Amino acid sequence: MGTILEIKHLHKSFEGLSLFDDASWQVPKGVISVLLGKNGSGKTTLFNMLTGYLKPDAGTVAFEGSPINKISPDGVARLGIGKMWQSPRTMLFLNHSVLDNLMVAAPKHKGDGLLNNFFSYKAVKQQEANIKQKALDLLEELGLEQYTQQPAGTLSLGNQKLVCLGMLLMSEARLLLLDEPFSSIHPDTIQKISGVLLKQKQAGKSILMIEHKINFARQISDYLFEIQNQKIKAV
Amino acid sequence: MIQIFFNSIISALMLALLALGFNLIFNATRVFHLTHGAIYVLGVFLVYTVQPTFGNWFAIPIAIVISINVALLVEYWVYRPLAQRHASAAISLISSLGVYTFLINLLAFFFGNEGVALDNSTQTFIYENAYFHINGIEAKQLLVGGLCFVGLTFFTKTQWYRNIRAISDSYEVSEKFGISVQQTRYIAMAVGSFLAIVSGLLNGFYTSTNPHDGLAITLMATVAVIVGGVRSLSGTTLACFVIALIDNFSVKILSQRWREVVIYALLIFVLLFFKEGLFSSKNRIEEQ
Amino acid sequence: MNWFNFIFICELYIMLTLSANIVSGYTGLLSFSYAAFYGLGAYATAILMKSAGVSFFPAMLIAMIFNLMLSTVLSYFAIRMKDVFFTIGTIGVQIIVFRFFYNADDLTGGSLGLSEIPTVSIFGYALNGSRDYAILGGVLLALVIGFFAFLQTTPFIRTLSCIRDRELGAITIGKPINYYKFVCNAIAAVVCTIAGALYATNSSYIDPTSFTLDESILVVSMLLIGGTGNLIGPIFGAFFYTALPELIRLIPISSSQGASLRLMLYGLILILVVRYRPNGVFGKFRFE
Repeated sequence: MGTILEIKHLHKSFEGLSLFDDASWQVPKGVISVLLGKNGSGKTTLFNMLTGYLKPDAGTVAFEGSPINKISPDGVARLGIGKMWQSPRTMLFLNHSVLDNLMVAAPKHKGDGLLNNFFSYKAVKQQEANIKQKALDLLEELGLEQYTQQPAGTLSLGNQKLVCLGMLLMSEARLLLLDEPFSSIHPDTIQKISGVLLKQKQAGKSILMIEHKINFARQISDYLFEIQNQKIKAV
Repeated sequence: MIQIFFNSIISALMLALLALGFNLIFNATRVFHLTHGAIYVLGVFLVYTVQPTFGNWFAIPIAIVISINVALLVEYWVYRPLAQRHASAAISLISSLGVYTFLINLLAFFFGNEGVALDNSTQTFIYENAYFHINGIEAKQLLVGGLCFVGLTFFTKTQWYRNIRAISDSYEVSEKFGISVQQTRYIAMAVGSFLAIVSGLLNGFYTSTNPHDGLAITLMATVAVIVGGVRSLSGTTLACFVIALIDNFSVKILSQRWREVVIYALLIFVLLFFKEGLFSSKNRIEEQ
Repeated sequence: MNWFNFIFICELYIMLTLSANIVSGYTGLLSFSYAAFYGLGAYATAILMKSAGVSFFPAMLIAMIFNLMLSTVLSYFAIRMKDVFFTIGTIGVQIIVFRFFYNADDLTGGSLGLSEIPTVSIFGYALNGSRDYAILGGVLLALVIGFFAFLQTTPFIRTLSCIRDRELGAITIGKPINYYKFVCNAIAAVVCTIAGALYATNSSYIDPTSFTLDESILVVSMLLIGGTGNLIGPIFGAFFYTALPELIRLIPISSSQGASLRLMLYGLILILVVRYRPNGVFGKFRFE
């Protein structure tokens, strides 16, 4: 078993309140890991540090062996870390159709560059068609095919979370960071999401999520970690 | 040198009145209140209209009352609906700019684009020595400005001011604690505008004022608010002194023509490098 | 009334509003420095043609390079400053550029302006009269509209409008938003240069008063009333606002009062649109 993400000697404090004190941690590759911790223990802060939104006071974060703590959030995302925010509204394009939400997430799209649209028109059209097909397939897999053309803002919370997950899968992230993916949604959707996650694990993706319900966490995860006394420990 | 220093103190005082008013309004309404600049000149033009017939002692209170009511009307009719709709900061800025453009050109329509002077008498110095002189208007500016500061210090001790502080943190929480958000917004608007009018009038008695003067000075005041920290009145005041010094020395060293450029360059410099003071670090990233 | 001149002015404003649409409508950066780009385009083209004897199209291309440099500065602002503070920064840039036109006497002629700007000649045919300019403007405008219409069909614009919808979402999926802000500012700079170059050569005389902050506010109002996020909105807005002064001209008041009345109406419309119709007439999105 390898390591996909590694933090070393991490320190972080907010206005005198120390959240992490010399914390070191290795996130295993190709499995589902769950991070536990009390409210205010710094789970969300840790996620923000792993994705470049916050800078650690000291220490390093390395993704697949290379340090990422000096990279901007969008740069981290391009490297292959996909983050799902606790509230889907934080990352969804609410006025755009579900299909657009997925298509825009495709990485390395030639059409994202202005001039390519003019000078390699054919290649862009071709890639666009491929991406559309891929997005449609993914929507079917997520069971959202009837919402394809609906604005993402009109969907229920559970379906919005599925769309978020779809965006991360579209973006071909190799490590998925999920901030409470199962909170306040219907049991059927929980089933659906955990099904998708297990399938992604089999496809070789690494998944790290924050979860409160410990029994459920035990069920779905391969490894459990907890933030205790400003350090991260295996449970 | 001493003279420049002294002039800086006076212009800092005038700027501080405007900036403190802006600070109160910005904290309470969260609108980047550029209309402040229109209120600043509105008072001068009202006094200019009423003064020849009724004299200063009647004109000044009338001007203050009317201008405050205009500001309250702006709050009632423009800002309040936007707040109810949770409009973004940019959209309220546009509205504010719209009101500013409307009021300024209303003044320009009636009074033209040239400056008006409230006091045409040549000022004699009431005190003078080799290094330093002061005239009657400057003395009045010091006196009235100082009084406003004392008044404001008392104001910060009142429940009203505590309410402004509270609603600047969160409207929802404040409402749960029984603070009337709308009433507090009106109070902040009235007090803030009062300070702006006083500052405008004191300046209007000193030099001529044209309708377009308000924007530059208001943006200068916002520089002070940004440098001094949006949440701190004393920080704003201190920043005003620094800015007034820079302003007065730049006029001396460069020339009057490039004064505006210096002010706006300062504004941009502040926005580029002092942005940490503008945002509350307590907010989660999602909420920013 | 000269119809060709009216059409020509309309064409210029449509160009300016379309560039405002790509920056403010799509990336959601509310900028008030369009008149600075417009003016820099006009002055650079005029000076190159008049003093260096460069012909129209090369002069315009060189002017574009100047404007691209200015737009890079704005893009840097967009990275460092958040929403309203960016807007305030662009107001600063606008006023600094205006002051530069006004104060740099040797280069720009200062407040007197530049006169005797050569007319455009294409393959030896010197353009003569407003009809010729309306045609040249029409051709260039058709190119600009064609460019934007093509852009509407590309994945590029989808990514842009997603950034506008939720910037944090675009960051989450790894879109380099600073690149997009840079590109949009660059497109706007280029289009504004075309408008400026046309304006300078048609009127053969320019002075700083055509490139004030009011002009930038006007462009943003055009965008607001028409609505953002498509092409028909900005075009309608520009047409509406160009027609308005022609109507005001029918009222018997002096020209400076007319100008004040016009700006008053602009301010009022801005407030009313934000209050009652935040999407504009044809807008796809609420402007925020």
